[in-house]
Amino acid sequence: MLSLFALVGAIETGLVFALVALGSYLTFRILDFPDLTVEGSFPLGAAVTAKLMVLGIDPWSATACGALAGAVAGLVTAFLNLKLRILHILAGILTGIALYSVNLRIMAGPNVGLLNMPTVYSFGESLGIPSLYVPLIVLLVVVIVALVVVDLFLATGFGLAMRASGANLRMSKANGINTAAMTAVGLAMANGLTALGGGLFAQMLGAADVSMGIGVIVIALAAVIGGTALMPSRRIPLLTLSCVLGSVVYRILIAFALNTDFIGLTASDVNVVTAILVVIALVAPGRKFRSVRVRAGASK
Amino acid sequence: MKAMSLAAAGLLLGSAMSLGSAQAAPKKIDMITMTDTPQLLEVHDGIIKGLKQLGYVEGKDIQIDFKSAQGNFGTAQQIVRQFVGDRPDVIVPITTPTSQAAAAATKDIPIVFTTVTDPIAAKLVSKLDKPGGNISGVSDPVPIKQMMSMIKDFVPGLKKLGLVYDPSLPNSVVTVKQIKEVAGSMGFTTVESAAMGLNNVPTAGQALVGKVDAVFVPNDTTVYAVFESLVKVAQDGKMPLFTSERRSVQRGAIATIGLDFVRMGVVTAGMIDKVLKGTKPGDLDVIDMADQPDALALYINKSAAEKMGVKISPELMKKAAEVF
Repeated sequence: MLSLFALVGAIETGLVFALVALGSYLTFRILDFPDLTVEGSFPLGAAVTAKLMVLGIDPWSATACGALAGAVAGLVTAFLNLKLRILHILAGILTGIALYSVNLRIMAGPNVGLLNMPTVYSFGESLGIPSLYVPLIVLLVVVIVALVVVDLFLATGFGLAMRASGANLRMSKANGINTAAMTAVGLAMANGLTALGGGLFAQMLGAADVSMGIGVIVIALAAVIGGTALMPSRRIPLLTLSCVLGSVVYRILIAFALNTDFIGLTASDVNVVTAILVVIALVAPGRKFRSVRVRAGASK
Repeated sequence: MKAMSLAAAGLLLGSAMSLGSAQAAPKKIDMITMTDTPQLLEVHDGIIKGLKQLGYVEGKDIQIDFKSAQGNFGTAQQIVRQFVGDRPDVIVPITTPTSQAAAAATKDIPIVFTTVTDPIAAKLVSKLDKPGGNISGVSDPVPIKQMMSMIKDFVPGLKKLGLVYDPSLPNSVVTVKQIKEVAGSMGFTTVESAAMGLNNVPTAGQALVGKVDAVFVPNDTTVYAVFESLVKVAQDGKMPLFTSERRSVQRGAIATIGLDFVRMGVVTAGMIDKVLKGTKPGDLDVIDMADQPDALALYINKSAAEKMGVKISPELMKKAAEVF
């Protein structure tokens, strides 16, 4: 049914968006800050990475700079919210739409081609790894490192303070936590992860494109919510892992949706098929998950 | 007479070919589009039509898998990966981003791209003649000079030309840049009005009312998606509106020298045919649609011209391929 290429492609894309999902987990769940900056910071990471690569910077450094640019975008949203007192959801939207123009400037146009250039996935050839698996390996390593860093961070005193300020802002302030700093750091991390995903995705796709961010937030939230439903837990390392799992499963469901020609569905039906599959995935396992679904919806 | 016998030979050849390939397994053609906009679907229809004209029978000689990424880059990436796994005889990506995704995903499966305005800037090929590798295709650079002189035919006193377009679309950006390059020598200046997203199209049009002598829309899927809203602005503001494709003239623009998208699909089918018969895409020159005979034609909408206060001379009317 599903070819090896389609499966590997689904897992790769899932791993890229797992980085975005991890970021959205930090903002939506840990900080209780619905951050929509990601629709702009995802293509920002791609734009900065692509531009620097075209200028001759090596792909790893370029990707790192892309991630840093994303972190700065997160700080802009934090500034709008904390200093200028703009509603959190609006602050993210504002940064996101501003980034659209910024990305057009950075790339000097809507699209930068990266075909036939050395990318972070190029090293595989010299090591003799089949080219099919190189992006998979690179992304697995990056996602595991990101998971470990986020988990370790959330277990430090600073990380615990961040979780506390998300869970109960007034209590945290009363206990002397600098909640503004927590929000700023959390947004920078989240958008840095998102932009890292954008940079890695552009190199896989062979181009950075200003429209790459469209719908990213929906995909990330589907991964976060779907992941918690698939793997309910209260422990942070399992919750972050479930974001990655949710993202990969979502992509595999899309791969199946793309394979439904045989029952008479056409090219334009893929979105509704995907939505139905996600609903089935959430509902089918029965009561146990149903309670999670409700809890997931009710908690935030 | 000569044409007749050529046609007869073509028919014979066509039937011989379909006979020959009837015994073999059908050739697989995997096609992907980024969005489901009418022009892109016309290209798709043109490809199907062209293949049929060349004698291919779907289900027998060829098997076509057509997928849409519905605007989502993640989905585009997955579709392309699935195609690579299918090992088709040729992958046909429609638009720039899907072509880049296909080129990134495979270096050996033949790729015939179409509806790409600037394949060199997109890094799909390094040169247009025999580009080498597994990729070639059909580009659709807008015939800028012809279009601009057409606008001057309708609006002889053209001094300022407004441009409504979505700066996020590669094709539009290339066109606008080219118009700015020729504007000076043709005696007019340009005023840009960016429409970022569907909702901003009418506003982008309103911003030009009273400031320009005419408005031109490049081959811009965003503007064409809500084109009627721009037509209304142009009518209310008596702003002559010109476009770069036929369908939008039917929908209310005054005129265009248009690329026919169905025709572009047919031309693409010709290249697909060569690839299916064993030619390496790298040995096929990238086809420039503007160089194709009868790819360009003048289309006029008479009532739209009246509503926008433009008088059409009888000579122009005579030149039109079609009047709506």
